[in-house]
Amino acid sequence: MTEKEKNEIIFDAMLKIAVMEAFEQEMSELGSEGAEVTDRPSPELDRRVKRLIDKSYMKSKMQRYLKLTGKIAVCICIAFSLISLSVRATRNAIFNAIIEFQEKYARVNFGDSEAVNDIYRPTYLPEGFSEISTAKFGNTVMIKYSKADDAEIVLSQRPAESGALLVDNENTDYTEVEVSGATAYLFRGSSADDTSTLIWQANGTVFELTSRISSDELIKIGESLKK
Amino acid sequence: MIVLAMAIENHDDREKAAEIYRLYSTTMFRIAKGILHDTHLAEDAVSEAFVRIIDNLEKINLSDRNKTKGFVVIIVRHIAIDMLRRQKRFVPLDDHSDYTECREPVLSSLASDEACSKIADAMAKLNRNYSDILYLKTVFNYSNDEIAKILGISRDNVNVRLHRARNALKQQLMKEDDLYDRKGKK
Repeated sequence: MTEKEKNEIIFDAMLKIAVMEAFEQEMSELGSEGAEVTDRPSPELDRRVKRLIDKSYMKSKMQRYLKLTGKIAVCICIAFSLISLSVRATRNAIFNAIIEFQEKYARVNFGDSEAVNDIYRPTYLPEGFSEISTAKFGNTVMIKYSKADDAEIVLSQRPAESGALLVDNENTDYTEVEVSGATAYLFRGSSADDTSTLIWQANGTVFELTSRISSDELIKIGESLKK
Repeated sequence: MIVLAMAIENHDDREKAAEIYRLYSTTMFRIAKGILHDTHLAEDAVSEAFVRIIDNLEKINLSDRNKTKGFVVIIVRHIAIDMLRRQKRFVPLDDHSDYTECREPVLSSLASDEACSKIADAMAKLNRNYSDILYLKTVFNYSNDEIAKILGISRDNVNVRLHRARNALKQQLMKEDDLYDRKGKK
C-alpha cells in the first residue's frame, strides 16, 4: 500500500467521524424544537401545509380507489349480465343495499331505479358555507361547499342504478340513521380530522354527503335537499 | 405548480407529517428566511420542502429527533438555496471541479482526535451544498439514488457534488496547512 492510499483510507475514516461530529454540532446549535422563537411561519403557511398533507392523503386514497374500481368494473359487468337474464320485477327491487366491509373500504351496492334529470341542492347549510363548484362526472353530479376556514362539504348525487359506492371506513364508525324517512348509512369520522360520510337513496337518486362537520349537521343538510 | 408524488398512505402517515410540521416548521422557516431574506419566499420554500418531505416520509423516524431535524433542515436549505440561485440566476457554488488531482492530507503523524477536529472545523466552513450532501451520505447512509430523490437532482449530479464536496474539504484543510505535507505543495 502506497503512502497516498494509506492517507486516503485514514482521511475517509476521519472524514466520517468529523462529518458526524459536525452534524451533531450543527443540530445542537439549531436549538431544541420547543425553544421560544419570535419569527414563526404565518397561519396561512400552516393552512397551506395542512392542505398539502390532506391532498397527498386523498391522492393516496384515490389511487387505492382506482385499483379497486378496476375490480369492481368486472363485478358490475357480471352483475349486468345476470340482471339481463332475470325478470324485471327482480331488477326493480327498490333499494337493496349490501354493505361489504373490505380492508379499507365499505362498498354499498344499490338496486336498479329510475334516473334523475334535475339536481338536488340543500336548502339548509351550516353558517358560513356557500357553493363553490358544481361538476358532472358521467351521471354523477358533485357540488362543493366551502367556508373561510377551508372546511368543505361535498354533495354527490346520481341515479340509483346498479353500481357501487366506495366509502373509506378506515377511521369511521358505521351506523344507520334516518334521513327524511329513508334509511341512511352514516360513516362517522373517528376524530375531528376524519371525514364523515352519509349515504342514502331517495326518489331514485343516491346521495352522498361528505365533510368534517358534525354528522348531525350532515343529516340536517340531507333532510333539506330540494330540486 | 406543486406536484405531489404522494407518500401519505394512511392515517398514521398523516399524523406523522402533521407532527413533523408542528415540531420543525419554525426551524425550517428560520433557515429559509436566513437564506432568502424574504418572508413570502421563505414560506414558499418551506411549503416546497414539505412536498419533498411527504415524498420521503418513509425515511423519517420521528423517534430520532436529531436526524429528523437534520433531514428537514437539509431539504429546506437545499430548496431555499436553489430558489435564491434561480432568483439571482447564478449563485456560485465554490467551484472545485478542477480540483481533481487534489493532494492528499498527511494524517498519520497527527493524533486522530486532532485530525478529526480539524476536519470538523473545515466542514463547518464548507459551502452548505457540500456539507449537506456529506451529511446525507455519511450520517444518514443514503445511497446516491436516495440522495438524488431527496434533493430532487440527478444521480450524476449527486456523484459530482460528492466528489466536489470531498475536494472542497481537502482544499479547506489545505488552507489551514496542518494536515498537508508542505513538500507536496504545488
